[in-house]
Order: sequence, then structure tokens, then C-alpha cells
Amino acid sequence: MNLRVFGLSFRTTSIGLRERLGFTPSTLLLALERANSELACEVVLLSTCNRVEFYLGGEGAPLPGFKELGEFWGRIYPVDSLAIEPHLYCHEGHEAIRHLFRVTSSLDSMVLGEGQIAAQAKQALEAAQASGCAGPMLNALFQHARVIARRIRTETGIAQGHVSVSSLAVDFVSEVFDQFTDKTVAVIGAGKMGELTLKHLAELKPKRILVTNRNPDKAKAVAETCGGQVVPFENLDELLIRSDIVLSTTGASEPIVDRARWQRVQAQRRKGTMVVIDIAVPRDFEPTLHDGETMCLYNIDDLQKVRETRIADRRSHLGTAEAMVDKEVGLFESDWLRRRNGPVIARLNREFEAKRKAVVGQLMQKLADRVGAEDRAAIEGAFRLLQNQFLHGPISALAEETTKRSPSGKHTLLDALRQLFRIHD
Amino acid sequence: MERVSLFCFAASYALSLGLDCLAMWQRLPLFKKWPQLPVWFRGGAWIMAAAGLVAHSLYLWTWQPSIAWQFGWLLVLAWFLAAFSVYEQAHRGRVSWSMFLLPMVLGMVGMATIIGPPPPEEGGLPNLFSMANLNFWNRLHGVLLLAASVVLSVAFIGSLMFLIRARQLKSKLAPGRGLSLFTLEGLETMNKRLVAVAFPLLSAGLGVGVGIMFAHASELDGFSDPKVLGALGLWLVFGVLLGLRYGTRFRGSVMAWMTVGVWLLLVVCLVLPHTLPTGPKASSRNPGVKAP
Repeated sequence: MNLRVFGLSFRTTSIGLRERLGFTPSTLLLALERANSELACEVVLLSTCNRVEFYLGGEGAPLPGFKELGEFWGRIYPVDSLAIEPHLYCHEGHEAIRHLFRVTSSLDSMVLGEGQIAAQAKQALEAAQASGCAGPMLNALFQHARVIARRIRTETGIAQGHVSVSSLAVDFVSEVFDQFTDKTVAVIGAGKMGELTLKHLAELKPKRILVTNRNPDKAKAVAETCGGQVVPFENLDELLIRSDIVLSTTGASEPIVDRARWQRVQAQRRKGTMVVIDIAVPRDFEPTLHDGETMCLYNIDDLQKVRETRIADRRSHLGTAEAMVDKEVGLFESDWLRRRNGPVIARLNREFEAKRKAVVGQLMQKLADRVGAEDRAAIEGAFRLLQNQFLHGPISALAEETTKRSPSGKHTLLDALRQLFRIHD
Repeated sequence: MERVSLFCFAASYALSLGLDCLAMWQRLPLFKKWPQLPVWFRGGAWIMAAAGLVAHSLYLWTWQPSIAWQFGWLLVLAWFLAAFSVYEQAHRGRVSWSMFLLPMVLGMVGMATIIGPPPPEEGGLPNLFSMANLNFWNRLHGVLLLAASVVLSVAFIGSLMFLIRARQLKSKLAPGRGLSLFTLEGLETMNKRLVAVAFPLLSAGLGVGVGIMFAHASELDGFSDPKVLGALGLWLVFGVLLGLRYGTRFRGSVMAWMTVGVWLLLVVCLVLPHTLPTGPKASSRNPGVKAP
């Protein structure tokens, strides 16, 4: 299969180089437009924060090599093509298909099993289609990659559970509470680390969000981002009495909620369990307050520990996922070759059909009065049989070539058939 | 139909439980190779439980064991719990209901086997399906107590789930690991609701029983009868539990432990009259359910 992928990823380059060589939506469009006119093949450009990859394919002219692609890249960005080359990897044919399937299935991602890459591959294909760079080969390849990515995500445990700290915090909260529309979320502090967690908690649509901070301006700023109300830091006890979920991210050097304070608060609380996500370092809540019933307290270490467990769980499914990829690569290749042979076989059939009809027509004119309807049918049947038997050999040989991939990846028999029978697209 | 035995449905339930246990064993190497296998196991578990329920129903229909005798009472109670388990498995497959309900069902069937059916001299006792020879109050008494027992048994399971969930949270078990249960809040709410439903049923059932007892005072040993005392004790403890539920603000785990205690008391009340020699006729029957 005439397919090649050039790329660089977090495995081969530093983030600095990826930032310089990555494509933004506008530069991606520009690159695709140029590729359309300069590279003379099908092109899909996959550019994410972790990788930049050019997928090149097509049945016609030879595909660009390291040098041509480096020069092309150098024409878009002011970088020396020779500087890029050492960081580039290249896969061809079978390996290129396998690479794409692994990439879209997130087996080659920084966070194994992450879900964004499949969507990014889809966007890359759509951009290539819009620019007219994607042809039949890359269209078929990327669509197949999408299907296999979905299968791997659903049929293996590779994408099981969340692995980001903020999502894990929400997972812990969801282990305690059924519904959130009657819950109060309290945010203590305004640490950057808490922003994403707060965003996830706000997505649960709690009844109210209360924000407190030693600095009222910072509290106000946080409250504005999540539609919360500001509570003065002096009223921390009252805030804890009213809250079901607490997100704490202060920069305090000592715990702000110790046992004495918690006992004071608990005596006045009329609510059930309180879930505390304490992602501050040093910790804001005394760790011994966790009892799994009145208070479920999770600090950054707890979240990290679960994260590592989840990642290890995902890794244990890697073997199954890789086997699925290998199987699908074979299936795609066979399918692609069948599609490739299809038009040639159809053309061959059509031409023989036309010739048979012409010869039989002439013969029937000559034998006009000498043969009856039954004999006519027998003669036509004999010619049809001859045609089928004649074509059976070449078509079977083509099918065999489809299943047995030649080491060079070339399809000499198909080309030979085209030339022998003068079949032109 | 008469070939359906206790073993038939007990074996089906046991097999269903076994398949469910296998399905939740996430680290089984087999599941790494065939990730869809747990789904098949769960499906198989449901089919086996449903088959057990059908056999159980046929058994009850064929033999019509009397609910005035512990044997019948336990089998009917087990049937309701098995039906609940099959329903929940179909509707909320992710929650491990069957892991809790089926052992209880198997325990009840086992206990019924140990106690055995009523002896021939008790053969004339009224049964569940043909209660023509029972008056309205006897029927009401039996049905109310049976309903209370079903609800209390589910509350007991809910309490066990609550305690396990609290334990999972205390040990900071990763979400999705271990037994799949409802949320802590959901289990506490469920427990409170079930206690609130079971107590009036039990009170009404016992009230009717006391009324019957006064009407047929000569047939019973009066208030010294162990089953009467047991039932009274059960009602009192249950009353305290309900008081806690509505009155003071108690931790969910205290409620859960008390529910477990009440359920154990119910079991004692069921077994006690059978093991202790008491009144001449009523001794081997359920509290209050009397021969006409």
C-alpha cells in the first residue's frame, strides 16, 4: 500500500520544538492548501500538542521523502529542514497503518487511553477533506481508524475510569452523593490548581456555590467564574455548616480546619456526609478528620494514588488492544486491495461482456433461419460459459494477491492485467 | 411439576451467585483476554436466577406449603427476595444486588430444608394459596407480617450495603473498584424509607395477631409464649429504630447496625418457636398465624 507517515511526537522531541512546528487552525489550513499544490499526493495533517504528523498516500506518483517533506515544512515555518530531520520518524505501508490505528486508539498517547486523540484525528481528516487533500485512500484509512479506536475504547479497559486529578475528585464525590441539585459546594482559596476541579464540580449543577478567601477580591474573581456567592473568610465555620462538598486550595502553612474546629462545626451541622477535596499543599484539613461517613476527605496524594492505579489498570489491557490493532491492520489492507481491484474486475467483465455480445450477435445474424430458439439459447449459454471460464483464472489470481501481501507492497498482477487487457481508468 | 425440588432452584440460585462473583472478579486473567466475558457471565447469572425463580414458583404452586409453618414462610419470603433480585439484576445490573440477596435466599431455603415441612398431624394447616379455611383476620395477619419481613429483609441488605460502602469510603478505595453499590446518600435514604414502611406493616400485623390471640386465648400460652415475647421484642426494638430515624440525628451507620439487629431478631423470632417446645398446637407456627 502506497502510504507513508512522517511525524514527530512527545517521544522524539521536546515540547519547545513541538510548539515551534505545531499547526494552529489557521496555519493548518495554509499548510494543507500548499500541500495540495506542492506534494502531489493525498495528505492529512494531524497536529496536537503531543504530535505533528503528515499522512501521505495515493496510488499514483511516488510519495515525498524526508528531504521533500523537510523542505515543505521549512517553507511554512522558518526552520532549517536539516534541524527537523533527526526528530522525524517515518512509517510506510503496513507500519503506517498500524501507527495510525495505535495513535487514534490512544495506545501511543502520553496518557494511555485518553479520549481526545480520536476526535483530533477526525478533525484532521475533515480539514483535509475541506481542503481537497484527502483522497479515497486516506478517507478509508482514517474512517477505519475511527472505528477501531471506538472498538478498543469500548471492548477493552484501556479507557476505563478517569485519570485526571480533577475528574477523579468528581468521581469520589459521585461515590457519596446521588444528586447534586440540592447540594452546596464551598470553595476555600483561589489556587490555580483548583480551577479545573471547580469547573468539573460546577458541571454537576449544584444548588449553590459559596466562595471564600482571605483576599475578598480573589474570592470575588473565583465566584464570577463559577456563578458563586462570596462568603467572608471570617465566616468559615458557617460556610462549613452549610456545605456538602468542599474544595480547598488555600496557600495556608497550617491546616485551617483542625479537629476542634470540625467538632464545633459538626455540632451545628444538620446535613449528612461532607466530602472535602483538599488539593492544597500543605493540606488545609487535618487528615485524621476522614472517617468515611461524616467526612470523606481526599487530598492530592489520595487522588494521585488512584490515578496511578487507574493508569496501571489501563496498561494491563494494552496487550489485548495491540492484538486488536494488528488484526484490524490486516483487515484494512485486504479490504483496501479488494476495493482497489474492484474497478479493474468490473471493467474487465464489462469489456468481455460487450465483446461476447458482439460476436454472438454476428453469429446469430449468419445463422438467422437455420437455428431455432432453443439452439440460440444453447449457443448464447456456451459463449457465456466460455467468458466466465476465461476470466475465472485472472480474477482468482488477483484475489490471491490481495490476501498475500507482496514484500514490496506493489501489485504487479493488477498492473499486468491493466496492460494485458488494455484497461485504463 | 412434582419433580421440581428445593435442590432445583437452590442450585440455580447458587450457580447464578457463582457467575456473578466471577463477573465481578475484575483481575481474572481470563477477562484481560476476553473483555466481554464479564457481560456474558452477568447475563448467564441473570438467566440462572430467572430459571431458579421459575422453578421456585412451580414448587410453591405444586406443593402450596403453609405459611403458618416456618418451612412455607421461609420459602415464600425467599421467593419474594429472589423475584426482587431478578428484577434488580435486569434493571440495575451494575449494582451488586444479587451478591447480597441470593446468599440470603439460599440461607432461607437452607433453613427451610433443615426445619422441613410440617409433620403429617399438622397436614391440615391452611396454606398460602387456599386460605378458604382461614378467616379474614388470620389472612390479614399473615400477609402483613410477610410484607413486613420482605421489606425488612431488603432494608437489612440495604444496611449491609451502606456499611460496606462506608468502609470503601473510609479506606479511600478507588471509585469503580470493589463491590458495585449505590452511593452512600442513596443507601441511607433507601434504608430510612424501608424502615418507615416496614414498621407500620409489622405493627399492624402484630396488632392483628394480638387481637386474634385475645379472641382464641385458650389455644395459646398467652404472653409467656416465646414467639409472642419474641415478636413483642422485635416490635419494641423496631420502634426504637424508627424513633432514631425520625427523632434524633444519628449517623447512618448506627441506623444500619440497628436495622441489621432488627433483622436478626426477626430471624430469631422465626426460628425460636420451632426450636423451643411451647404451646401444644401453635408452637410450630409463625407468631400469631393460628390454625382455625
